[in-house]
Amino acid sequence: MSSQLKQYLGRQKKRLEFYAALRLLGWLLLTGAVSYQLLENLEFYSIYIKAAHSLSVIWPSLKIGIVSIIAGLVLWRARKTLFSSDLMGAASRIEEESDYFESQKQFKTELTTAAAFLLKSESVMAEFEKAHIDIWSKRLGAYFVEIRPRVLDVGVLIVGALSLLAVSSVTGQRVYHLPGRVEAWSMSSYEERLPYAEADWTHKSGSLNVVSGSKIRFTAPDFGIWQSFFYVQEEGGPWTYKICNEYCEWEVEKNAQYAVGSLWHRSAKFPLLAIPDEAPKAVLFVLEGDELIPSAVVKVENKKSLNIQLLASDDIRLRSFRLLHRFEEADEVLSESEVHSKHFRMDYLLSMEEWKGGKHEIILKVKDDRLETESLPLTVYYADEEFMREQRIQNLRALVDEWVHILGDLIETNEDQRIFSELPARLKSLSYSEDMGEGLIAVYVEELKRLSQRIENELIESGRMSLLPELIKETEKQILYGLSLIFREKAGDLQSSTQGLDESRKSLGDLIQKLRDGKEKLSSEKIQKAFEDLLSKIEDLQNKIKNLPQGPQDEMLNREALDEQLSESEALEERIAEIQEMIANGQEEKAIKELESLMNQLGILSKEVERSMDQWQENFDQGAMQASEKFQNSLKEIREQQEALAEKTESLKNKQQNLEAKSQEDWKPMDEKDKEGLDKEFQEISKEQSKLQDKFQKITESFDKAVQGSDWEQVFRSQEAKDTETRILDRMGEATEKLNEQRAHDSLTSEQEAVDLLKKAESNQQKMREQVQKQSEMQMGAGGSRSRDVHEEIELLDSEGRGQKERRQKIMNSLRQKVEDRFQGSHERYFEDLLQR
Amino acid sequence: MRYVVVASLFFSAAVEAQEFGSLQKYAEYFGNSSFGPVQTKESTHFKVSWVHPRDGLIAKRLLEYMEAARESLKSKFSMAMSETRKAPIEIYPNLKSFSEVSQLALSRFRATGTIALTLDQRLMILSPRNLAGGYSWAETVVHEYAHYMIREITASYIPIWLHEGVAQLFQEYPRNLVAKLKPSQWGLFKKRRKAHSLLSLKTLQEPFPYRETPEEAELAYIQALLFVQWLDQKCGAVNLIVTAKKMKSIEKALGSCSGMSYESLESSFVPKIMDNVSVPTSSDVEFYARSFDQSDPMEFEGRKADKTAQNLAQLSEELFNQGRYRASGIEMNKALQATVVSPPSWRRHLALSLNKSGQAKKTKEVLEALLKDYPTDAAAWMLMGELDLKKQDEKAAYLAFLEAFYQNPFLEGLESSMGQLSQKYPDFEKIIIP
Repeated sequence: MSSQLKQYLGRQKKRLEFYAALRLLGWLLLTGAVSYQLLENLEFYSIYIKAAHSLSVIWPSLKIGIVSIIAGLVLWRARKTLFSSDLMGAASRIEEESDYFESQKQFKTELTTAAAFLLKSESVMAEFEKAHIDIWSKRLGAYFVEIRPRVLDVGVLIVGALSLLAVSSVTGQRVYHLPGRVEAWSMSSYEERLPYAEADWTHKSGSLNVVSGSKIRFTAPDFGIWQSFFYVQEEGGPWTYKICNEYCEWEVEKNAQYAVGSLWHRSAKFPLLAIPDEAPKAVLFVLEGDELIPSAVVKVENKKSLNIQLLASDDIRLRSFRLLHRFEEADEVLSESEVHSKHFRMDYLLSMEEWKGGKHEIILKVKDDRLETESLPLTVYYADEEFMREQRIQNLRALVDEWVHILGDLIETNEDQRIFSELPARLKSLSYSEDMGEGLIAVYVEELKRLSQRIENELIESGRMSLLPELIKETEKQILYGLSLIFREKAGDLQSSTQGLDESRKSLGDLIQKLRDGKEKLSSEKIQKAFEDLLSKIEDLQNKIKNLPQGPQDEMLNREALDEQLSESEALEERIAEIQEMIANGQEEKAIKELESLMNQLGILSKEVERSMDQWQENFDQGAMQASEKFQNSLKEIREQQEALAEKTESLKNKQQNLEAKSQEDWKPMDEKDKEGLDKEFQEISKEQSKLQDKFQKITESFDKAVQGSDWEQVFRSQEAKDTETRILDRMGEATEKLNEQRAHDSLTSEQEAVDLLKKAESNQQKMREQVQKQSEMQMGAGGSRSRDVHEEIELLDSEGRGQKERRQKIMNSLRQKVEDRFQGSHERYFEDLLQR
Repeated sequence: MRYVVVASLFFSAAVEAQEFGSLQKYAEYFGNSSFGPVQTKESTHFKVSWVHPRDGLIAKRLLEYMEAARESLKSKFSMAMSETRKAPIEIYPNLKSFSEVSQLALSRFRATGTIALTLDQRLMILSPRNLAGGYSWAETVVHEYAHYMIREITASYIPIWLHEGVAQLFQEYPRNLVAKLKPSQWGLFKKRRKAHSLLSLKTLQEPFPYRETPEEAELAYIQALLFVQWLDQKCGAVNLIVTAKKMKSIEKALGSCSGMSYESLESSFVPKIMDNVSVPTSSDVEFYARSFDQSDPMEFEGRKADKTAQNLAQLSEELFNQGRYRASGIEMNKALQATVVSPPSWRRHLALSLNKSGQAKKTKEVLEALLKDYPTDAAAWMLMGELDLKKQDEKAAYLAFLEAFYQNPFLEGLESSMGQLSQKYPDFEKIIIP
């Protein structure tokens, strides 16, 4: 039983200790908070005084030290309270708090006595003591109570916590207010340090006007014992203060106003202007003649270098530049270097050696200490042959596609006998790129324009539906010609490849025969050469096959097989390599068999391609060039006929002369029969001559039509050519007339003159065609085998500042003017700045 | 490299097999193949083996088709049919393996376009997966099976022309019981007959693929079929083989069959038998009968017409690519009218143009006409199937797809179209002959 009482009292003793600890914590918080706040106040106000301010460094450690000492003292003072509880103390508190002892006052102190007995060891305990303990143990249920904390315990804790809360919320919140009292003060000068690492302080005077990010400072004014302050209010922010030691300093970020003073008074407010740090500027110029064109877009043709100028500046200073060449999203550094000035200018020879055709960009990247910027690109459309051809092909393809739609419109118009609604608008919206070049394509474009005009005039405006089949046919012809032009642009010469392959195949065939007959050795150089030749021909042919317009493609196929075949696409070359290996390994019979099989395969391949090539050659032949050739052939034919007629006239002239001589000799009029015969012959020849004249007129008219409107009209139909043709017609007409008058001799003269003129026209036609062909080949450039006159050209397509060309020109002229040496630098900088704006 | 199939040329097992020693077994050759393990499937009388996993697509149908073919051939070849031994069919995944197992040079395959062989009584075919346009693989196996059965009757006495003639005679079983030449074959035959350059019976005894040109090889097959058809009428082609075995001489058997001595048969082969063959007179036959010699005015005209047509077809393609389907159809019609014989792809293109411009009825007409001329045009069958599917005639669609399957089973989209239909209608799978 006694142990039950002991346990009970022990638990209550712990409660008492807990309450004591709470109270102690409360005291600690309270004293800590109050003392900390006192020190804070002390620190806050110490700043007013110059001497006290010097303690500012030790204030934080001072505060911690003092607060710790106070807390230590409190703890030391409270240690007795914390550890003073024992069983008797607990019993005493129970007697105070239990209702039992309130009603049975006579028992007060009895429980405390029992607790005192319990403190003794049982062995030394007297019987009555034991009995006393037993009694109070038994009564435990009657007086049982759990000791409650006292108001003081909880109160101190709450006050302590609240103090801590109050101090922590107040700490750091205190601000110095701009003093209200204003005293006269003005700044005589200040120093500025620009925002880069190695910048030095530079002395300045006047209003505070500095680059954003820079630091400023000025000598602090002396206010006796009072500390000097620099008050600044940035745009949109509150007033802040900075203690001035030797200097008042500030890092300028934004526009602000400022004042100086102590905590009791201040100067008037002055403005502080922050100039934003501008990114450096960079411009690239192309030198075109004497003029520098900024950020230009240029098309360069057959030129290997370009004069450019790099220009950059910064409001503070430049650090470095990099000149980049960007092509197909990859950058290459052309030049780079450090710069240590505000302005930078450099002439640069841009080399375009080994450039691929396409869009190239040159970019100047410049850095100041904080920012990097890049110039607008100098765009160079570098037109190598490949690029120009690609461009022509693209333009041509787009044009042909537009005309395919027109063909569709015409076909549907023909089907419905009603103008297809979109046709008029489509014809009007037809656009012809200027980049079509000259020569064949230009002539083609002219042809299309003429056809478009014809469709508009004859079909849409006049509504002559009967013309539709002819217009469709013409449109079809033009599209096919366009496709053949595309093919020729892509693949070059149409015919030579199949012929070349055929020849190589045949010569290899002959070699195989010789091998079979034992006249040639399989490992001979001839065989190797034949292989090489064949390989190059196959390569050429494969390129052409790839570009050949294929007609309807069979797309409903087994794709798995196609994919596998694709991986075998190099099979012909591989097979040749296999055969060469067999030869090397001495498998002669096998090699010959493989060779024969290869020959068959090549035969099939070349026949297959030949057929398609033929077709596209024929479509190509529909063009204007061919009209000239046709005209020349017709001239030749007419000339031959005229020669034949002249021969006939000659013999008729002789016959007539003979008959006349005979008649004169015989002193008789010409025999009637002979005369009739002569008349008839003259009539026949005259008729033939007249027909020939008509024929000649027709072919010139038809040739006129064929080349009408094309670029070559002036070449083929020059005034000289037309004069010659008129003279031919005149001579033929004269000959007919004279033949009708039976003046054979005179007629013969006219006929021979006509023959001579026809020869001249013929040869002129040949020359003109050669001239045009040369020109067109220069344009075509495809196939790689043609000679080509190199024509260097830079064409300015666009410039960022082209609108201000005049203004820039003036600036450039000013820039070139020389001024006194000492002003030359600033003179140039001034105008360069202008140029960049 | 473009794989050129010169013609459906098949080697004769009788001759070829003698040239070779024992061939490597299929399973042995493909033992460690990168394609995967060798797979097999068996029916009552056939066992098919393949190694490329994709070739499994045709295995089941091939067995069903072959059983049906065997059934229809039973009346002719019952004496050659074993109930116990299964005829092995081997599908080769590529030309290289086909060449290595058959021990025939790759160049021969390339030159002749060989796609099937019967060697060592093994029916060997190249997987149709290898040919973009596919080929009649089921019919080809029946052709090879005919060679197989001839060798079952006798491995001796049978000349190549008889082997090839008989194989062609029965290759279309069970679908068609009468072998017919194509217009191009009739045209070639007519042209050569007119030029007095048909092949003699003696020449036909030499291996066909070794003729000087593919055209001559083709002619050999044509003449072989015509001659065997003539003999079939006289005494029955299979009977002739049985008689040759019995008499131990083909000459004697031919004498007994035709009532003519072999010498007189040989001498009258071209002037009498071949000259008496009646050639159809349709325009396409005439077209193919043109001489390919450039001096021939017909050939010249033909080339000119071809070019015009080719141009129009090109324009039609251009219009199609620009989405002008109606105009494309009109232009393609003009192209087709400009030439006697056009590639089937043009007519399919016309069908596509018509279909895309909403002319379903005309599309069907074009496809039907195309399939009449080119019954093995898988793509046309596929288009037909798609058209039927649009009309919700699923059975007709499946039959059309099945036709396509027998020609080009790996045609893009075919497998999934058929799969969807047979999932919906499992009974469709039981159809063997469309």
